[in-house]
Amino acid sequence: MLPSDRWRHPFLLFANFFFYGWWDWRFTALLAVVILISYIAGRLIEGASSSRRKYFLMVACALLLGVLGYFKYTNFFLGSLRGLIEQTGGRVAWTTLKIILPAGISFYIFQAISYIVTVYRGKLIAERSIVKLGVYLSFFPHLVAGPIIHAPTFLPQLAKKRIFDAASFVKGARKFALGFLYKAVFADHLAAVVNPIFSTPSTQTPLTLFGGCLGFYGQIYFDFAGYSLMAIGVANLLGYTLPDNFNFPYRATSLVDFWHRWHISLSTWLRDYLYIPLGGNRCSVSRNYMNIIVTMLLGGLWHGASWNYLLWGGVHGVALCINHAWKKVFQSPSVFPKSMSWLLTQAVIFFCWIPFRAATLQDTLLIFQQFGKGFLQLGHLLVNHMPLSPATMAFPWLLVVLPLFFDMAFNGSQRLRECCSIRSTMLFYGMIAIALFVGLLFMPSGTINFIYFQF
Amino acid sequence: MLILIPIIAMLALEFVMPGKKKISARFFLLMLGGVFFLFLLLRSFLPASLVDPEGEAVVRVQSQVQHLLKRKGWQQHPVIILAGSSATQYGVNGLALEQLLVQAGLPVTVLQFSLSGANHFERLFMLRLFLEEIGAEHREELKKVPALLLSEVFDAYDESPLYLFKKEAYTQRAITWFEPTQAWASYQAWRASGKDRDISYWTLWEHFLLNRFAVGSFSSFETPRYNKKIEPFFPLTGTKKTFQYNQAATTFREAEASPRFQELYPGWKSYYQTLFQEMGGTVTSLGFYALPTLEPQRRAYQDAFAAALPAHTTMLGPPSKEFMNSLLDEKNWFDGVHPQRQGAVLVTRWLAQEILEKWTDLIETRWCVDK
Repeated sequence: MLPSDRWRHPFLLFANFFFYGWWDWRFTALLAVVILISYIAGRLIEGASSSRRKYFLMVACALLLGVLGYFKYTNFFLGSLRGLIEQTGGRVAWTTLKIILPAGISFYIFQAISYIVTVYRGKLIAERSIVKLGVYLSFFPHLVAGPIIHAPTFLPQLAKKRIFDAASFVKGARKFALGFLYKAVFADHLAAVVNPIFSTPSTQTPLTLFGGCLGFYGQIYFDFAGYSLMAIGVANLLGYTLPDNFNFPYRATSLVDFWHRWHISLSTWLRDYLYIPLGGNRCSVSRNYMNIIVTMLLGGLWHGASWNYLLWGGVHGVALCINHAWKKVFQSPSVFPKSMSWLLTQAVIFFCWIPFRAATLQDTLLIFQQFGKGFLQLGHLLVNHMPLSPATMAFPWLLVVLPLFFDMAFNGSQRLRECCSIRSTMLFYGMIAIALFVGLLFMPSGTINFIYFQF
Repeated sequence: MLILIPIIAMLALEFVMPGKKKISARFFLLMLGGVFFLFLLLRSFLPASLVDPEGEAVVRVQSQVQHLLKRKGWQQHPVIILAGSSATQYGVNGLALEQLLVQAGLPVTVLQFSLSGANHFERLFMLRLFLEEIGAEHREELKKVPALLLSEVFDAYDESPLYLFKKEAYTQRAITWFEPTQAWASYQAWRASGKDRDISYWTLWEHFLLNRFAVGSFSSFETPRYNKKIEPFFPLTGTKKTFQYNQAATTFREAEASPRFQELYPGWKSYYQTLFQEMGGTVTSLGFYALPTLEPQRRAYQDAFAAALPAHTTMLGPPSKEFMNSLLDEKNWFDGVHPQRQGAVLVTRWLAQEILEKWTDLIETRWCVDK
């Protein structure tokens, strides 16, 4: 858009800061500090001797994680410590601090770490221009909710001379339109169903709770995948490429498969900068499983400072270990029918979303208790051939099930897309425009935040 | 099954792929712009009753259109149009008012355009939509009968033209009434009033765009029900949790003993000017009414409003001290402004009495800003 490459990056940096400052201008200083730490650390690491490189890396990572820890975890640890002391009969005078969580802090801090570690590993030359590094760390389409872009994927794009690519532009518009439908129509409608159920779980019937959990299972996918698609689409419109963040995760037939399809940028980050440094799978089996669990626990904690997220990460970690063990024991894939693998995998994912969404651990337990009761009631209804209550029938089951089913079964099938697609450039343009309008007509009024903004 | 439309759009985005023809961003943008333009063109011909048939204001208008047209021989009697907010919605039973007037020998049709929280511009929207909905033929008939437009006087809406807008912002209701004419009028009034500075230009502009692009029109995923009927009068029961009747009654009595002076808010005339211009050609007279309230500053404003009106302008109320004293019973009040069901009966009777007493004045005079 701009006439020369010379002003493109300063302009983009200004736009990124303007975008971030629109939410709260005070935190632009924090973003600037993170950029500065990354820039200085990158240059120092590159120029230092091998023994000092590690020192600089550790200091930079400690600083960045310190910033993240202060804003995100201080109150969690203070609160947990207080609870622990009070449970043992002690008394404490402190209260939690009034700390505002800066939007997207987990995302840009992880990107900064990605940059520093990549420079440390010698896979990337430290960026000479603080403006370019700033553009990478604060690039507005993915600044507040990802995807987390790894430095080697994005920084080289900034070095290239930009040539307008019409195909990339229009495909970016298509991705944006698809993301808009995901978020504005499907996720936000599901939010309207899900939020009241999770805010008062004690007053809900087991079947409504099940519907609410199923709704959240769809909502979190449409919400986050929608944001990611819009971010990737906007980046494409500006001439940049961001990697895909989702690949129809609810088609996964194992948990390992799921983590290759869900929030790909985070799972890749955790693999590259946590799991592998911990030893990965090049160690004993027990150590390998420990690495998986630690990685997933920290992955859970990355989402937020709460016991619920830890539980979510922990259960995923254990389930991944079982998945790996299963694969080792039963080498042949035909031991378990694919449909059963899918059902089992999705059931684990479904139940794991409950602590992820519930407000407290107590709510999580309550929901599981209600599920238990529900199974008993359902058995009673089936045995006695009794009809379901009208309130249950009134639940928007179609809204909860249909969009997800069509997206996973049709859009997610490469074979179907190849054999049944219609090829017409004009129609392609028209469908993007129409999809945008359909999104406008069907989106609920009001403002519903992206779920991942809080992380 | 309207959910299938966005699902089909979603599938189309994956299953329609570019053909052999080279992709051209210019052509794509032209097509996108063309579709935008076509949509806006189409939208400008669609009335709000078609775009948002279940909108609160639209439904009320529809029910009043039905009430008017179903009444045999309405063309031979006067028509009274009440335009108000929650005080009218909860305090005046339009049907009962109509019956009381008929019983008193004044055969009229009462149309009640009352909606809780409706500011001047939403009321204007309802009235404008009403004139559209009755159609040209009935509009002409309406011009031939004595038609009285009575506008509720309530200080909060005069003080702040976008009163409660912030609370309702981005709701389907706020989007529905933000049609170009209302948007422009409310923008001017908002700018002139100097109130609600926390509402930004962008918020107003956004609502205008949301309205023009019919955002959320099908967000219920249900086939729109046209001509859905909703009664314009909603009787309230019980007392508001935060309302202390005894305290309110004491404050009211003290204020009545030493009434205070309240100035009219600047720019209060602008809405009535617009109303007069809009409706002047159709209705015979434009008058005002002030409903009972226990809140002293609101009552003081009603007095100030009555005093500021030109001599030949008719205003029903403010209620006399005697009538207000007769209303001083906890069972009559939901809060300081809105009566309960029992209070609404008394308020409706009082309004009928006021209309009967001032009928000649109402018919023969009309409010005019120049006077």
